[in-house]
Formats: sequence, structure tokens, C-alpha cells
Amino acid sequence: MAASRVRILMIVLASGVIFDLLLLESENINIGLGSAAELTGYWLFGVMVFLTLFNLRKKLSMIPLGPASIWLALHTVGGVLALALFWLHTGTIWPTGIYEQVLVVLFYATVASGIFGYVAQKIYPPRLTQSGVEVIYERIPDHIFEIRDEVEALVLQCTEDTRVDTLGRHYLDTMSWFFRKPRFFLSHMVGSQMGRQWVRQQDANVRRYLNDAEAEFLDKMTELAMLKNGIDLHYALQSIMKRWLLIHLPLTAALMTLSVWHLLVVNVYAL
Amino acid sequence: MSNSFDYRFDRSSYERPNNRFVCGRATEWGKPCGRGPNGDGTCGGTAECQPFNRNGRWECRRAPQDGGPCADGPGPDGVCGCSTPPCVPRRSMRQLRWRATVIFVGLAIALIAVFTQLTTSGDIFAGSARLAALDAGDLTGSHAGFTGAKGCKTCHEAHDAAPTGWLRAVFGKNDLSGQCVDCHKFGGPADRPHNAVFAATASNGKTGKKTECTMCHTEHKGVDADISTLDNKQCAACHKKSFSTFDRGHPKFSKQFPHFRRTSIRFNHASHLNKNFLKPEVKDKAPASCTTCHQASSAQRSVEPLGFEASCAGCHDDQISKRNLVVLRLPEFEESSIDKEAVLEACGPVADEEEEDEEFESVSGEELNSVGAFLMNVESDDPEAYSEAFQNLLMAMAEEGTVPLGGLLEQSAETANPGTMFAGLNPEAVKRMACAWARNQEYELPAEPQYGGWYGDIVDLIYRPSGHADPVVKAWLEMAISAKSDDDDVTERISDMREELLSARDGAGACVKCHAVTQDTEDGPLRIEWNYHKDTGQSYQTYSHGQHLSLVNPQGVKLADPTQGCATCHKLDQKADFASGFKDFNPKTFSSNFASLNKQACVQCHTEGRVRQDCQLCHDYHKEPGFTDRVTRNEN
Repeated sequence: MAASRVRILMIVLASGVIFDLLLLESENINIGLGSAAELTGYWLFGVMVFLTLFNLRKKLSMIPLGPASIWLALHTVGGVLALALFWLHTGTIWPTGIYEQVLVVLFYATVASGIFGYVAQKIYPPRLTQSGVEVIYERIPDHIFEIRDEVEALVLQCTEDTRVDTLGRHYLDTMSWFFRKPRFFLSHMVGSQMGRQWVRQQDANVRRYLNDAEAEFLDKMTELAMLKNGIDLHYALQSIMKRWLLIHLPLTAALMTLSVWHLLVVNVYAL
Repeated sequence: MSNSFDYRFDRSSYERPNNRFVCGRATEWGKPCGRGPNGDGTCGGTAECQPFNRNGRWECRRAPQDGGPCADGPGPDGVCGCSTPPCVPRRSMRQLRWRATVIFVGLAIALIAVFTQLTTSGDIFAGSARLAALDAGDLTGSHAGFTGAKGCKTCHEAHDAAPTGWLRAVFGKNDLSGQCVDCHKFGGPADRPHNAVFAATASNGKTGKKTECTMCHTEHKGVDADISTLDNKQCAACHKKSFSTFDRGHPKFSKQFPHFRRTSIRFNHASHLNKNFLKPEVKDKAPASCTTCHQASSAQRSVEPLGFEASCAGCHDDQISKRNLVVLRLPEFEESSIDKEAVLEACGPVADEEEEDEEFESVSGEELNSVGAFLMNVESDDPEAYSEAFQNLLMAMAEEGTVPLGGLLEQSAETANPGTMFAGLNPEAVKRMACAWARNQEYELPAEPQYGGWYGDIVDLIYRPSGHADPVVKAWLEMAISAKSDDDDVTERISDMREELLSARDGAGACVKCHAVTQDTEDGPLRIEWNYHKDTGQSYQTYSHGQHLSLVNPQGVKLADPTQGCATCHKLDQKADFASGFKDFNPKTFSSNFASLNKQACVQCHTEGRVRQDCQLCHDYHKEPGFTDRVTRNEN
């Protein structure tokens, strides 16, 4: 077993032990007519602060704070621990006060977005590897421009060489839409092959009207279209892997803000 | 394959996703420029390079990844020759994330600010108590009515306080229990377990663990929430005798349970059921069932009898009026010192006046009765001691009627109430009786008294009880039982008076034949148990007889079948010496008519899978819970 897996397993076990100890202690406190919510609340807040530090770890990459994989594992397991602690703390899945309800909605939304991000980070990278294309997200506009440029040069060359504009009109009427920007975002997101099918369909549609010389140019154009489809896949999946944080981080910030207020109010009113 | 897939340093630019802006052309899927946007968000790519002046000549410095130096080179003025129209850079994803985070935090703070203003009396959502950042949820219905205009401050002192007040509250301790006892009160300290300092704890010089109301009762769970529920585990936290359920491990009931003292009424169930009720002359008056005499349908722990009229009067009513109270008895005098002239003046002449020179012979041969001896503070069996005092009393009664009697009573017993004790005593009748006795004559009753009340008969001043709970008799008995003195002689007279009035056999009104005389502590006062005694000694136990009665026999209990009804649990103990329990004043030395209850009787139903068996079903936590008068005043 790889060392990283052992470490992750240790983290999971440690979290499980922490939760079990808290569960037992809460039970003891409840039995002793104490306030277990105070204990679980502070632990929950502490875990949430620790989860928030994950973002700080990314920003302080120059400081040796341990491997990012460990931090990700801590963040993931900590998130699950936080959810369990949350239910232990509240004793319900839906509280009564409007403020608490807002807090809970934010908590659940943050957890849900985190789960979505975790699943995306687990599922999409293998699919990107399988696509056969490797591309930096920030360079995708450049790649798309260059492919489009290359395709348009190819179409011009075809018209000049064959003195026939069938492929040119096909490009203008149909394929230029495809090469202008990333397409089939949703189908790439859910793993559908709609983009590939669309390219093949267009190829088949026009091929019957082309002579042999034009067909050679069509072959090259289809090849570029398939490459473009691979880049579209990267664009879709990498966008999701980057943009889910657009939801997760703001939600986390709002949640922490309301949690601090909750902590203050509880100390003023109840403890 | 496109050349741009080559990531060599001299063939592609270095991406900087941390930058705040990205090239506007790239966002529109055009060719991004190599130089990218400026830090302030303006386009930095209108020229492809920044020419360098070397030895007076301008050199093109276009990067290799952008194609290297251009063929035309810079102009003579040092301006790049490859200019392009400017783009509109867009914010990078990191920047968008940061802005979204700031906006969300701002919204959260705004939400807190808005909610904080929307208090329960907020104008925008007036009446909607839940729209407040400080509101953790609805109060239970019973508490919501007592917060009123004072609102949250009723319980939370820091509410509406200045920031400094909040700061103090954060680092201080909130005394929520202190607010609870404004309305709730108990039969002991509110902040101690079970509102009591138990003997075992007190013997160690301790007062027990401090408790808070919020340990068990937490609010804001909704209007209909049950905020009083404990569970068995919580009970087991303190009660060291641990067990899982009632049917598995609960200690056996004590040998006495549920009879921890004798009853306040000397009613022998065994002799009545087995002997008295079977007599032909009373058979038709005998109760048909236990519920004929006991109010069981709505009874909780105690099943009170319905009272004398419903339960006893059928057989025992006339016995009360037969037990007269003799307050004063004319004793035997050896000689008379009564001034006949004074008698003549007070009482007037009579037709058959005796000759003066006859030797004095007392019309009464009786001793002074114990009540009279107590009132006059004289020896009852020594004529020399009582003659003068009694004859003086007679003259005073002949002149003033009842007044001297009241005076004697007030002198003898400080707590006595002559108004009640001589209620209905006719002064004229007293005068006539005193005159007769002063003349050394028997008092002849004009007519036989048919009903209760005062009358004189030969040598006695008598009160006949009018019926059960006669107030005059009760007052005399109360006086007799409460009288006390440091003088040994007086104490002996008090004892004699008690023996006469409180005699179970011949006592006034036959009260003590049924009502127990009790001394709760060794040195405590005696008292007559006029009312049904509710056993509060086991104050943490609760039981509903009413609910169980419907289980054993909805129609009531048939005495003919002792295997049913109340007898299901309450079985007569035929061998018990019930009467012996009333021979002394200690209520704890007794023998119950009924056998003690066994836990198995309860376990028949209260067992796993059948009927509840949690601790709180039979045990209360609080001792004598109640409310302060603040609840009725509803102050906010």
C-alpha cells in the first residue's frame, strides 16, 4: 500500500476516533445533565476553521506545510467529520429559528458544493487523461484560435487546389459554428459523446458531395475537429473543476461569518 | 497538431492564473496577445513588443514564442511597428472568486444586521417573532405567554444591552435558572437535585451538586415541543443503582410499600368486610364495591374516601350524637359557703325554699369532672380544694350567665376560642342552672333535648353533638389536645381531661373512635387527624389509580369477587393487627389492612414490548412544583 494511502487511512481512522470520543463524551454529558451542545459546538467550529485553512495552505505554498494530498485528505475527511458533528450538535436536520435555518442552509450548501467538487476532482481527471489531449486551461482560447486558423487555411487551400467551393461552403454554413468557441459543454460534463457524434455526422453529410481531392482536405478538417472536440472536453471539465470553487468558497466565507455571530449570540444568551 | 501544444519555454508564454485580469481577446476566443493585460485592467497588448535602443538603433524585442523579432522592426521613433487595436481585459477566475467571497460575506453581515433589527416587535414583519437574528425558534406555548412586552429580556438579561453589556455576557455566566424561579417554585431549593438536600448528602456537610434548569429544559424548540423529558440514562447518572429497564433490575419495592404510615381514619377493612358488612342488620347498608366509598375514577396516588356522609353515616351517624360533651359537673360539697341572700338577689325567690337550720347535704355526690377541674385549676377529687372556687363560679354564673365560663376558658387555655367552644350556649339557661345548683338543687331540664346543642341536666352542663364534624366538639377536642403547662399538677389535669374527651370508647362525639391522634415527632405536639392523610413522604412517586381502575374493572370493583378490581393489587391481610397501630400516637408503628405491593404486579403490564416503563412514568423529578404569584400578576 502506498504511503499516501496509509496516511489517508490514518486520517480517516483518527477522524473516526475523534468523532467516537466526542459522541461518547456528549452522551456522558447529556446523561450528566450537562450541555453537550457546548462541547460539540466548539469542536464543530474548530473543525470548520481548520477546513477553511485549506485555502490558506494553497496560498502559502512557499511554506512547507506538508503535501497537498494530505491537506486534501484532511479537508475531505474533516468535511465529513464536520457534517457528523453538525448533526450531533444540532440534534436535528432542520432547526426552528429563522437564523439557524439560514445557517443550516449555508452549511448544507457548502457541504453539497464540497461533495460536488470532491466527486468532480475524482471523476474528471481520468476522463481528461483518456481524452488523449493534454492542455493548460488558460491556453485553451489560444488553441481554439490556432485550430480555427488552421482549419480556415485548410479550407482556402482546398478551394484554390480543387477550384470547388463545396468544402468552403460547408465550413461557412456548419463547421465555423463549431470552431468559433468551445461547444457541447453539458454533454462533455455528463460524459456524453455528442460532440464526437456531431463531427462525424457533419463529415458524413458532406463527404458524398466531395471528390477525392476534397475528401483529403475533409479528412484533415475532421481530424482538427476531433482535436477541437478534445479541447472542448478539457474546457468543460477543467471549467467545472475550477468554477465549483466559485460557489464553495463564497459559501464557506458566508457560513463562517454567520457561525461567528452564532457563537457570539450563544455566549451572550445561553452560556 | 497545433504548434501551440509545444510547451517549451521559448515557444509558449508563461501562464499566470494569479493575475487579476485576462486578455479580452482570449475571452472572445481570439488570439490572445503575448503581453497580456496591465495590472490595472487596461490592455497591455496594443504593441507586440517594447523596442530597445541599442547604440542609437531601435531593436525589436518581440518574444520568441510570439514569433521573435519582426521583419519591419520598430519605427525611427522607437514605436513598435506591429500595433493592434486594444482589447477589453476581463477579470480572472481567481479575481471573480475573491469578489464573490467578499459579496457573500457582505451579504451575511447585512443579513445579520437586518435580522437584528427585525426583532419580535419589528415594523416590517410585525407579529412575526421568528424574523430575528437572535431568535432561536418559537417558545413553547406556556412560556410564550409570559414574555410579553419585555420579550427576550424576560430570560436573557443581555438582550438589548449595549456592546459592553454583550462583552460582559460573553465572558460572564448567564443565570438562566435565576429567571426560571421568578415564576416556578418548588418544595425545596431550586438549584439542587430533586429540590432537596438529602440526608446522606447533608450528613457530609454538603448541599449536593448544583443544578441548572437548562440541564433538562431547553427552550426554542417550537410551540408544541415537550421540554420536560428526561430519559432513564439521565436518572442513572446520579442513581448509582443502575439497571436497564423497570422489569430488568429495578429494585424491589420496600416491604411496606405503598403503606408507610397508618391511615388517618381508624377503619379496619378486614373486620368490616369479613364481619360487619355481613351482619343481617347492616347488610343492606354495606357498600357494593370499593368505589362506593373511595373516589377512584379520577384518583392519582391517593384514593381518597368519599367522606363520612357517603361512606360511614349509614351505620355510624347516630353514634356521634350519643357521645355528649360534659363541660361542667356539679360536684359534691361538704358544706356550702354560698350566701343565700346573694342567691335570692341574683335568682329571685322560689316557692319551696328549704329551712335554713337544716344540716347541709350536697345534692350531688359526684366528683368534679376533668374539664371543670382543668378550667378552674383545682383538684377534682378534693372537695376542700374545689368547693369555694366552684361555689364562687356558681354565683358568678347565676349573676352573669356564660361570661364567667368564657373567662375561665381564656385563663386556662391561651389558644382556646370561647366564641366557638361556647357557641349556642344560652346565658339564661346557664343562669337558671347555676341558680338551681346554688340553691343545692338538681337542675330539672324543662324538656328532653331532641337535637344537638347545649343543655343542663341535673348536675351536668352538657353539649350534645349535632352530627359529624360538629364545630363545638372539634374546638373542645382541639383545646384538650393542644393544652400544655409547665406545672405538674396542671399537666396531670390536662392528661385527665384528654383521657375523658379523647377516649375512643366514651369520648365526646366519638371523634377519636375513628380519627387518629398523632404525634409526628417524639417531642412534637399531638394532633387529631381530621382530614384524609395524603402521603407526601414519597413525593417523587406518581401513580394514577384512575387509569388503572379502568383496566381491572371498568364497572367498579365487586367485593364478591376478590380476584378482580382493586383486589388485583390490594389484597387484604387477614392476619394484620390493624387496631394495634392506634394504641400509641406514632403513625409509623402500624399494621396495614393490606399486604404490601410486589413489583411483579406492575411488571405484568409494564414490561418490554407492552406498556411504558421509563423512570418518569412513576417518578417525578421535582419536589412539589408550583408557581409563584408572579404568574398570576403576569408582570413583564
